[in-house]
Amino acid sequence: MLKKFNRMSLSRSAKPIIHEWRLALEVVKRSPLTMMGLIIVVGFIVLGAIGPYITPYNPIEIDFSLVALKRLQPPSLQHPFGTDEYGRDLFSRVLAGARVSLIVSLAVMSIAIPVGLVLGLIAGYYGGIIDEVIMRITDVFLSFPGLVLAIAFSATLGAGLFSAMLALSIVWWPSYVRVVRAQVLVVREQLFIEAAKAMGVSTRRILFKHILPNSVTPLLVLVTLDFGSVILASSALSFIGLGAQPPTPEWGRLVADGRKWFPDKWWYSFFPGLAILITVLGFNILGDGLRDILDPRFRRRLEFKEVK
Amino acid sequence: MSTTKVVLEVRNLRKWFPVKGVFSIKGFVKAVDGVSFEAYEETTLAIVGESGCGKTTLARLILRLIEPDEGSIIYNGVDVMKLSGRKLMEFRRKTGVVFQDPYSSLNPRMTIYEILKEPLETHGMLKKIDLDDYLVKLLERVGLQKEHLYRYPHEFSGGQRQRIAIARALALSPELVVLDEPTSSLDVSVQAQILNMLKDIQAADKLTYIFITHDLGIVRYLAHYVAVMYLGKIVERGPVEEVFEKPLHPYTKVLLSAVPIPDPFIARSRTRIKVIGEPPSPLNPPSGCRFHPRCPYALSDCSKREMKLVEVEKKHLVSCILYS
Amino acid sequence: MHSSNLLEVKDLRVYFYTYAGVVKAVDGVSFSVRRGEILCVVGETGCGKSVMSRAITRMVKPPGKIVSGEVLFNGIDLLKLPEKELKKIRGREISYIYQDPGSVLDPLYTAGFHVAETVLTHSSSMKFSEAWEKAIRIFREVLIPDPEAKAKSYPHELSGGMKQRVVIATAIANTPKLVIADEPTTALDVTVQAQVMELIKSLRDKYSSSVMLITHNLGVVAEVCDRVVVMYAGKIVEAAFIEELFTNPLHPYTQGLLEAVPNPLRKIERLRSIHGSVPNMIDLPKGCRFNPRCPYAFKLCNEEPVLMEYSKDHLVSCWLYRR
Repeated sequence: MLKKFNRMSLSRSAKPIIHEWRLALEVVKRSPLTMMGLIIVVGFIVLGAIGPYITPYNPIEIDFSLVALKRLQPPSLQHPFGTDEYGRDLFSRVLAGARVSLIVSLAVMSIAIPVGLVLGLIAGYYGGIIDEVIMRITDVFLSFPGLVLAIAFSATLGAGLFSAMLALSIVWWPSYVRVVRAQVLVVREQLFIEAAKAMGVSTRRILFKHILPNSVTPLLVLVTLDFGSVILASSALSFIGLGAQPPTPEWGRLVADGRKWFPDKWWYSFFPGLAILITVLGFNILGDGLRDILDPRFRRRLEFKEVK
Repeated sequence: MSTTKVVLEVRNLRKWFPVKGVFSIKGFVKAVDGVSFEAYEETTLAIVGESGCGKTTLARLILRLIEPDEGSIIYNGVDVMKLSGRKLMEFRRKTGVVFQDPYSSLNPRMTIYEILKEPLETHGMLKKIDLDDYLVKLLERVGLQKEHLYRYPHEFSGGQRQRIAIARALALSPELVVLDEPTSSLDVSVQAQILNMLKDIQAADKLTYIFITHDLGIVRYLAHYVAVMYLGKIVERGPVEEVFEKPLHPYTKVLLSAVPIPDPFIARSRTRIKVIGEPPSPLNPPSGCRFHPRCPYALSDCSKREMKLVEVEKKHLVSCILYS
Repeated sequence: MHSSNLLEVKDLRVYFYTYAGVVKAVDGVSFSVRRGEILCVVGETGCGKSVMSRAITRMVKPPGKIVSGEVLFNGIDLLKLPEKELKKIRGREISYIYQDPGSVLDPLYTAGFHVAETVLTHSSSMKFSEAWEKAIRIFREVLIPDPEAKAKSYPHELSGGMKQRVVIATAIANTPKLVIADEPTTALDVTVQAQVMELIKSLRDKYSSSVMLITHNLGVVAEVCDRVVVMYAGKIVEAAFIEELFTNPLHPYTQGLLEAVPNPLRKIERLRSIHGSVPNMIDLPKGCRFNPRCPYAFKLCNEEPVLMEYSKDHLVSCWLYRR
């Protein structure tokens, strides 16, 4: 009795995902590039989560008594990334910056993904005038220049990460609507949807139990790739002064700050820049690898075991 | 058959799909164009035809997956088109469907357990039964085992998937099951297993089947009645033995003559009726009798008059000028 | 070796090396195609017939590999021929017809162009206009109505049956000695299927080409073939003339197949189905591959049987017929 309960109590939606990831892991193991991407991404998330707790020095506080002594020191054993103009350890600052980037991208995604999903589902499934209305609204938002929006928000709400996140969220969801809608159009024609209708299943259930789970895979790939793009975008905004404000150690901000002393004190811009490069690259490689993994033709070659 | 109770009656069913041009409607695909027939209790009615004849559209109309333009569908004396709410759910509960493609008729992200549970859950049956027990028995009826409940569709072969689809159709103990080419994509030996299984289940559960196929061999084996469709119309219908032994409509004769027979001696010795050309598109059906451009017996009047179904012998109807 | 053998396949093995294991898709297949005959290769999904048909002209892509064997075409081993020479044979001496004409025809080119291109590829001096004329001539021979107009049509403008005729026209354009047809009628309607089957028969009668027809449809086999080869799980289990095979099927699989096919001209009480399902090609059972499903299996079946001659022109691979 207990055994049966255990097997079936496993959440219905968790099971397919577990199965998928088990298979995905198999493929990742065989592709060293994707493996690398996965390591970078996991590393980034971990550092983003615990970074501020493991910094050797305080990334934000300035010890005024040591400034003159420590400012703009080149990389050394004590300070692997060197120090900034206030004597702060740049390694700690870059490490702390990981969390900033992580939070920004999570915030943007947490708005863009649900909005994109819901609108894409509705537009794709119902079609007709509803589809037209949603897609035209989406087109309007798609044509918004993100930078201009960020400037506008900064001007009205004050410069800072919040304005940047708001601007990025608004600009990001339209492409997700399109991707989800495209997949919904395909899934809608599948026979198991007709079977559900013939069974009398409610439209709500068809949408969320049948169409949604089968429409997320392209979105998954896009989201992974986009994580890198959001980080890049927020770094760019911080670089031009619109995003993170001092003393927040955002990578783009750090690169901008380091420009004043480039190329003499090269380490200042170099290491945060490197951090951006590696992180974005990691997400891109992982996203590419995910796309291959989720490609059904690729998987069919692997899945050979059959049920007797 | 002992009973002649009519389970499903279809009268003058019509469904045209508009073809949209840039500014106006260019024309209509006359998928189903005035179809009438009956299905009797505990029997199998086969609907045969080639591609473009409208049989798949007909299947969807019967199940009320699409709305007809005209005509009536009467199930057990009740007009299906007028049903709504609880009565409609009742209809859905009493009808089951099995589709042709076993690869897209099961949700790839649901386990077999969830797939089979869904109809029961949708119709509020969960409290009345011991779910696990019921599902295991259901699976065993279609020749699968308990372990299969926790797998995903992609782990099964085509034949096994069709068994699951059949189990799903039977989950609510329906009275009528519509099967749209359920074995067309399966191997010969698997097909035989599934056909035998369908036969046994029909006898055990006293089911009525509406079986859509293009395979005349299956019709002869499984069906009691047959309706031959061509370009949206039924050209001949009647008891299977009657229609196959004494085909009346030229198209039926052509079909029987063209179908490959798995017996080399008969195949080589019989005379084939030569049919010319291909099935035209339902967008622009020929005038008058739709078969006349390809009919080896066509008369001049055939392009002018459209014939109605006429009863030539008991329950054997045909629409052809040669029999009016 | 008979001089009447156009094609002789000897112990052909084609294996697929996948992540999950080695799939022995074709595992020691030997048979021949005689001049002017239609040979049918019958089998269900996974028996290896399609792979085998491609292997004859070395069109097997990785992870598949032709591991061993000989394919003698007019005495020349195609498996050892340099690629340049083999290209001269493909499309000229040996040509293919496939199941889905829609995916074989390039949607960007007209029907006539397809045939003309094949003709030009294998001729050194012909001009395009001459090739086009030839294309129209062949269209007429395969009974395509209004050939001049149809030659200028694009594939999407043609129906399924018409496309298949275009494919057949492409296949016979250079009067090949052997036409390999892989399920040419499966995607077609019954009435169109009948017409295409007549066309295939005419390949033998009018052009004296040999045809290797691959199918799982026993009705097509009975209508069209002279001789039959039955494949199961990568091996040949029986080979005979069609009449002999139908009147005296020896291998239990052949018997099962014949009894599983419904016949429109006869009322059958019960179809006999073969118990079980096709084996997993990676994890094959020891001995005879049909053993787990065979109603007559006995002790010897744990050893793999060989193809032996039961009577003249009737071969079977089954221990029931050991001498």
